Amino acid sequence: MEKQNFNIIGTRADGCDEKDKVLGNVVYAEDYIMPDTLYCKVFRSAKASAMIKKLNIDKAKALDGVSCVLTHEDVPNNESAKNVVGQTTEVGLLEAKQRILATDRVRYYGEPIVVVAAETPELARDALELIEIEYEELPGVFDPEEAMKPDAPKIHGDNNVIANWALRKGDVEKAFAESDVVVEAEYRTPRQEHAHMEPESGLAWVDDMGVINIRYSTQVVEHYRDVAAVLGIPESRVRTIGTIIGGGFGGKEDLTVEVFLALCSWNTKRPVKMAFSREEMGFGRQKRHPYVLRYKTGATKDGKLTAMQAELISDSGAYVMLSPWVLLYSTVHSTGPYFIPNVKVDAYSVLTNNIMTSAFRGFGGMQVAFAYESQMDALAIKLNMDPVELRKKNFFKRGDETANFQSIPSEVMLDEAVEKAVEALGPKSEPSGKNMRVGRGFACSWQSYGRMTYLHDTASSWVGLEMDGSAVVRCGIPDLGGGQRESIRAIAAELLGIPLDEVHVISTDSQVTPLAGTVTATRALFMSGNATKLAAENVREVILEKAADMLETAAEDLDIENKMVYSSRQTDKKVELVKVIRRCAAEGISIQSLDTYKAAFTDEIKTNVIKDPVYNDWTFGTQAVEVEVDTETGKVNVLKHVSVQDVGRAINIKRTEGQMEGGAAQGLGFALMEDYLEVDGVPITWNLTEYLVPTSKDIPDSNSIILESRSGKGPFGAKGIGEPSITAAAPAVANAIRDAVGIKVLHLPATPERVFWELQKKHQS
Amino acid sequence: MRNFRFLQPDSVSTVLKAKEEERENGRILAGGTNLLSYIKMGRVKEGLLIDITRLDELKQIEDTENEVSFGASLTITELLNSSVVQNRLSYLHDTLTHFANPLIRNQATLGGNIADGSPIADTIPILLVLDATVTAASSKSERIIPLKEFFVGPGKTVLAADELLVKVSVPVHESSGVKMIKLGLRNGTACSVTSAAVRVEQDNKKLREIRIALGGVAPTPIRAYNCENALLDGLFDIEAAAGAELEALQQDINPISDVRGTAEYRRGVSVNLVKRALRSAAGMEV
Repeated sequence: MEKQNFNIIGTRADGCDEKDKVLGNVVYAEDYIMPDTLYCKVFRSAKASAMIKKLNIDKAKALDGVSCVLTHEDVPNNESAKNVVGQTTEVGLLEAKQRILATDRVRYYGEPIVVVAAETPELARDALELIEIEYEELPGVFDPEEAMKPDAPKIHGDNNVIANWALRKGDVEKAFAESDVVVEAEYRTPRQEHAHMEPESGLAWVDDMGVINIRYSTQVVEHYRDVAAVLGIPESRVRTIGTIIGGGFGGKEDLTVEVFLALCSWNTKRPVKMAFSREEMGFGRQKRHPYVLRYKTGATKDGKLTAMQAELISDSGAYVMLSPWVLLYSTVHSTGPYFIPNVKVDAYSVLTNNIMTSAFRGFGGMQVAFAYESQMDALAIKLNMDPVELRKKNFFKRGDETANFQSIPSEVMLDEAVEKAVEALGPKSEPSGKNMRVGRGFACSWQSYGRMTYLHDTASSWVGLEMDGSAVVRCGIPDLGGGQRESIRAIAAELLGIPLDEVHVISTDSQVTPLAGTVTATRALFMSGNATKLAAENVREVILEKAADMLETAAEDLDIENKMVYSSRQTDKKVELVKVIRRCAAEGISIQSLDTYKAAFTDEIKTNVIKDPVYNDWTFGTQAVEVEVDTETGKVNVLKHVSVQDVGRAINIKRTEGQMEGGAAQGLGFALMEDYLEVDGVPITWNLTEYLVPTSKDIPDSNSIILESRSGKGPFGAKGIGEPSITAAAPAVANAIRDAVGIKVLHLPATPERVFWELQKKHQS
Repeated sequence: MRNFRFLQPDSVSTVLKAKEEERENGRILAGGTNLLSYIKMGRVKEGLLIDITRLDELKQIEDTENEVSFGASLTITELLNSSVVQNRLSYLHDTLTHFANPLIRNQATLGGNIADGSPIADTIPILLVLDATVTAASSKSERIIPLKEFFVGPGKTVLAADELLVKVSVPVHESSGVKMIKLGLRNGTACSVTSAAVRVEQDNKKLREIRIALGGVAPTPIRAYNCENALLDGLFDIEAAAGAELEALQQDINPISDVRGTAEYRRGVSVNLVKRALRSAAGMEV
């Protein structure tokens, strides 16, 4: 009885927050305050690699108005509890777990050492200045390839390589020998900062039942488990309450403020508030992994890919965080959306004394996309073949086997995507000056949605009708700004035939909303959307059965629209939803449902060589750009941008376009300017004056074209779009620069200076 | 902020009296776009903040036949909105549209941009090629300083501890072509890597007078005298000037490497910026 005719799904319906966001009326985590609130600040390492010889907090403690000054000795369990956040399955044994507060050694600049809480933010800052510390510097290592050498300083344990994954398919040596053309290159990608507008922030208090409540900005409600483990108290005594998030992009996937807040409020039994400063967001938190990627790709003279070999090295910074899983994504996605019969990939994630790296929109899929799509254009040039035609000969088809021997389960609409993207660029622009050159490029990508299948992902949701025909949904899924909350509202409203504004979604309270997992991995719509769909369908079924009873007709013929249950066969047979609800209530029939959606489950990966399915499904898309290169300065301007993505089914067109445009802007920033720079582990771009993200003057109006194969595993055939929207932007830019001025862009970001020197080199040769 | 006192004077003479008493400790708060960030960074820790934003005396525009004078606390937005700037100094208007971003332009003042002494201040190179002067006042006297003699080092100017920059005077060169080009690492809200301004006077395609100034290539904004002289000495033809290699420019500049670019890049790119500004100022194809 799956509903087919939609009134809300697939429209541009407004949600309940866009207008308030524009007007500044949304209440964010930092806006909350309680009486007698203390302010928390973190004392951080000023060295990238050192022993702490002496730490004296006496003066800070003695300062009037300071309530607590805590070191690692005050943290019951000082190691971050789990390898992978929100996880029900422990994965692998890992060293280099993060410490909440440093013990006797610091491993990166900005590592937390002491946490203080005081009556005012100024006093908390004063207290930090009274902390006395002496370091003894240790040799550090700041280049992952240096760190792989046997005599390199060790960050933890005796091996800096914390993860190694591989792909092995066919015989690459033989295939390269038989290839008509082979292209080879080394690529480098930057350390991108999330730069979300809202800093990490929150408010914690211990209530009269002895429960620590933490209301904060997070992508992961289930961090209450980590907080409980750190404090050594039952998980049932930590409650996390989410807020509308002012951007996260993966930056609020790992632990942020919650443990510091919990420690201070637990110690003082007073409400405690904190927000990272913009500078602290620079040096105090993780970034995207910089990669070195060495690629070799072969093809026949008629453009069929024969073999691909790659070495991937990622800089994981000083702690493990999510590096092994980011690397796993890179490894599986390293082939691009192409069927390649022979594949050999070796990937390493390596500890250094640089700032930590972890989750970031794209999760390892972006770095490899830059390499595999640059390789495709290099092959097209060598084969003297249209880059569109070359790709079309090699795109995956539904049912094809990937290099980890997993069958593609959904439609691959890349032929259509690439054609539409190139066509939508329209007529070529004229250069704006005599030393300007205009060029075009495009890139195709694949990006999984949903978590890795061996993590056995589930999501639960509760749907209930009220007596007046309105509805409540309870589902523990934070709204990251992508409309996660709005999507499940639309799904419930659609299935129950009630107006959108009569459905209220309670979205994040770990002790009130059924757990629905993280808002990460492009899983929110897929998982919580399916869970809400299941629960809403259960309620719908009850209503239709009872209405069929009342109307003396078959439930299969009935539908609900605008709070009216009606028969599609006999127009006179209809009854108001409210009447059916009242009948159910009178008869004691429940009109509420809690249901759980389970993603695909596979066994844990046991070997470094990935030979089994890892993902649920993929989203495929193309981005195309037109750029203008200033040959006198090396500056690149993006004149036009098009993104074409098969989202399976767009639940809300406007929100889908929002993701496509936002992802593209962030991807263009990665391509052209974003790079968190450090010199021997000391950051030099820790504020937004030097760390540049694109402004509205740097990003053209984006043209977002939505394709709907309706073949995805999400609700009504939806696929995910949050991460796939970013992936292909950078290689599209690189390919366009090459088209404009004939230089290879191997090192991102393509800053004016890098392009300038490449142009000089070309000029001289 | 607990170590700061605050003064909002009702006249320039009160400001000057406060400066006389406080000297370096008297911090002029105009737009605050530099000062507040220095306080936040801890570079300025204490003192008397003297708010000059409400003084009409410092917001005047005097439009005379040969010169336009601007009160030092006029904001960049106020300059952009001024019909005098739009009509008589259209090249300055063009330059100011590239100044930081609208929010900063609403706050930042012309006097502050100059007195801050930054080597990459967005208004300086064009004011240098226009032969601008600034007026510095103290409670005892007033003096006019050519802008080309104003800068001493990064963040350092010839302003004395008791002086206030009150006025910026810009000669109007009716027959000159003027262009400033700013190279930032993005299109909005970017600190300059390098910037260059050129003013040319030509007569039948012959170069009669040239001014070249740059930002971001030395400890202060500079006039490129060697380059100017080389062009005037050797190449009277404007087309030839635009095509010249400008080797002499390398003697004028002394860039450093920093987070925004290497010294070598600044050396290479500043030549191209000057050439482009020259082409534009001379009315040639850019």
